[in-house]
Amino acid sequence: MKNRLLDSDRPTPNPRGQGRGAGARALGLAMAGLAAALLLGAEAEARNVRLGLLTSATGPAAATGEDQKRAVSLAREEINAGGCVFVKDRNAKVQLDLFIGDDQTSREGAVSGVTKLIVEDKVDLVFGGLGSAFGMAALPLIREHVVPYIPTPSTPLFTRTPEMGPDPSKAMVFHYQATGLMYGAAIADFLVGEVKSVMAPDKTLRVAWLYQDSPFGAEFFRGFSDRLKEANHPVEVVATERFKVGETDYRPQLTKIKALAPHALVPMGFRGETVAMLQQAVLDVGLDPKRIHLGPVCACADDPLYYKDLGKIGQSTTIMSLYSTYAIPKGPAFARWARFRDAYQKKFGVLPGLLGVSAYDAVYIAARAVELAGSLDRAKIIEALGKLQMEQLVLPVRGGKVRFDPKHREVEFFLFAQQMFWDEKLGELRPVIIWPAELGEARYRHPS
Amino acid sequence: MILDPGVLLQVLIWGLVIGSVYMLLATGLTLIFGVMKVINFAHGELMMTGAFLTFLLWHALGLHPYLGVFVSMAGVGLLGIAVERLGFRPLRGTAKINEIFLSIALILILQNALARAFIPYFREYAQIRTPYAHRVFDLGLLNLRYDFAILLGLTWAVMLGLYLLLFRTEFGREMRGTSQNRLAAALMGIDVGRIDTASFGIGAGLAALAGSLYGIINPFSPYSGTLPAIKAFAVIILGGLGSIRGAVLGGLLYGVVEGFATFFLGGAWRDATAFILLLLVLLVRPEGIFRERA
Repeated sequence: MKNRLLDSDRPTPNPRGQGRGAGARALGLAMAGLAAALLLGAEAEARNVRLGLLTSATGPAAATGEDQKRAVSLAREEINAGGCVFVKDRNAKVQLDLFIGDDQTSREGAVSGVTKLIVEDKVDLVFGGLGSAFGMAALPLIREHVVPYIPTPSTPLFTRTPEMGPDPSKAMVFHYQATGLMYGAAIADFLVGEVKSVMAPDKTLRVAWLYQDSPFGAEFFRGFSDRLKEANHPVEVVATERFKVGETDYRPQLTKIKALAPHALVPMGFRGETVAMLQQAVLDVGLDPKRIHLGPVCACADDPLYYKDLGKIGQSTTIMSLYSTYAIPKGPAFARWARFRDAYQKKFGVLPGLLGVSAYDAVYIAARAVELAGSLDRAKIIEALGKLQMEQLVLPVRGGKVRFDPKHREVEFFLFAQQMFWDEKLGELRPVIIWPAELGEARYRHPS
Repeated sequence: MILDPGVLLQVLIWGLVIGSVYMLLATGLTLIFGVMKVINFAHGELMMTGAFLTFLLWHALGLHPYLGVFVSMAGVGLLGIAVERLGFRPLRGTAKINEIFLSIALILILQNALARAFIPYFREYAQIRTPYAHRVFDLGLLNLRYDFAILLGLTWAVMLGLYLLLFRTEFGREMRGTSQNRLAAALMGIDVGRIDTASFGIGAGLAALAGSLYGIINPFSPYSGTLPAIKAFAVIILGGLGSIRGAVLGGLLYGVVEGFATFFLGGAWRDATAFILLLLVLLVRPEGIFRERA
């Protein structure tokens, strides 16, 4: 077959020597190209590890985004001060650089934020995030560019298909957060294990859910109902009421729930929503905490402002947690909690929340993955994340090792329940860990 | 059990409470539209400015929230006057799209200014706490928190005051005259520019009242005004553009339908059902419940 480029389409040399001039220009261009390539190569050789935090720097969730930004900057400083990240193919210790992609607390913002991180900042790995919907909106671009991604919101859709099986097309995603399914299952076990014996000792436990109408809320409830079937728990779900994201008036739903007389109400939303649900339940609708257990609420509510805003009416309510603002579980595995909390408070003058902690851990995971990969090649980092196994960081994990299970690329976290008690001296609620027994400082106590 | 009269009465009360907020918001909107024929898309942001001003007066200065409400009404009323004089008045007579873009710009300016000032301290939501937050009236079939009773009473007192202003004073007559026929009013010697300014100021003040009362019963953020403002637009279409009576009835009807829809059908239907009501009313009476009075 005739090679068109080499044969018929090759430009005919100019008989007056202009062809030689063109050749010289081509040579010059080639040399310039080579020089540029060498320079770029040198830059690539010299550049630091580039991590991209996708979070809400603006919009309604900006304050929680600020928590992530602070926690991440702390982790970066610690890693850089501790000798940076060793990258084998450079045979050098390399500093971490952080870039922020602002999701603007919206799906559209998440797309532009992740585009900036991938295209403009050319990050080696993307991580973090607050809202599942925003992280999911960023996912198509991450898949297209095959960028290693460690999301920290809770939806299992990051790694699984809508039918909840593993999704091979998301092979670059490694989920570092307890999922709604995990939380839902733990809530079912906790209610049956601790609350039932107090609220409904000889009866089926009647439970009502009031949850956010979003993948976040739906998966918590799905985890709960799946666990009821799986463990054949003696629980009757008497109400499943929902509310839209950002809604703050729950009185009609709570009035209906009160009329159905459940033994427990699980209010599932973000921090501000949870505070409003509990306050409206007790103060406006008149749900009596002596007759109905309120909780457990989402771990995402566990933030210093939650304890402050909820006030006395939060007495005896419970939280299903992964990280506690004030309590520290027993045992040496949790020593790192106290160190992290002190360092954060010393540097920023405030306490961190759960999403800050998960982003902090994610920086260490990313740094370890780069070390394991020995390269800044994205494919090698993805491979390293798949094989990674490291000591528990701040968030508690089962078996004390952080590893992404090969099936779903999720980490098996250790969840625990806390009950709230009013501290007269502080004038604020404080938590006591009550479940599971191996971590518990006390048992669940009836409000009376 | 859920059809118990006490339970249904309770849902009706929730509907009337939130309906009163919609009513105040819609009344302000319809007053501005009736007089100036301007659609102020930033009305929800004026509402939130009012809520945050009351919050600030209470939280930072310790002013009683129900006194703060009036200071906030005056403050946001003045802001409304400034917006009318410096923003909408220079655009009068130009293409309508200029007014629309001005109000969209106001949305962004007010939302971002409030977010910058408050979110670093209060995260997603703030709420105004009155000394009566834990006090309830025992009404037999149901308990009613003092704050809800005050909200209903205060709303109706202000609406009565507005009625007296519009229908029992010379100024109100001039305002209604301007609303009916601007040119004729000007020819009769009415200072229509002054009427515009006053209408915008009163409308903004009512939005501040709506926001402050909303902020006493619900948590709010700088972005919380958007949805109530959309609903207020639906209310004034439902009630009849430019009609105060329509805004009052439409607001209450909207709140009650929304409450019962949430109760019977669930939260997912909250907004949809009320808009379905709007569509149904418009099918039967395209001019709204109360025709705009010429």
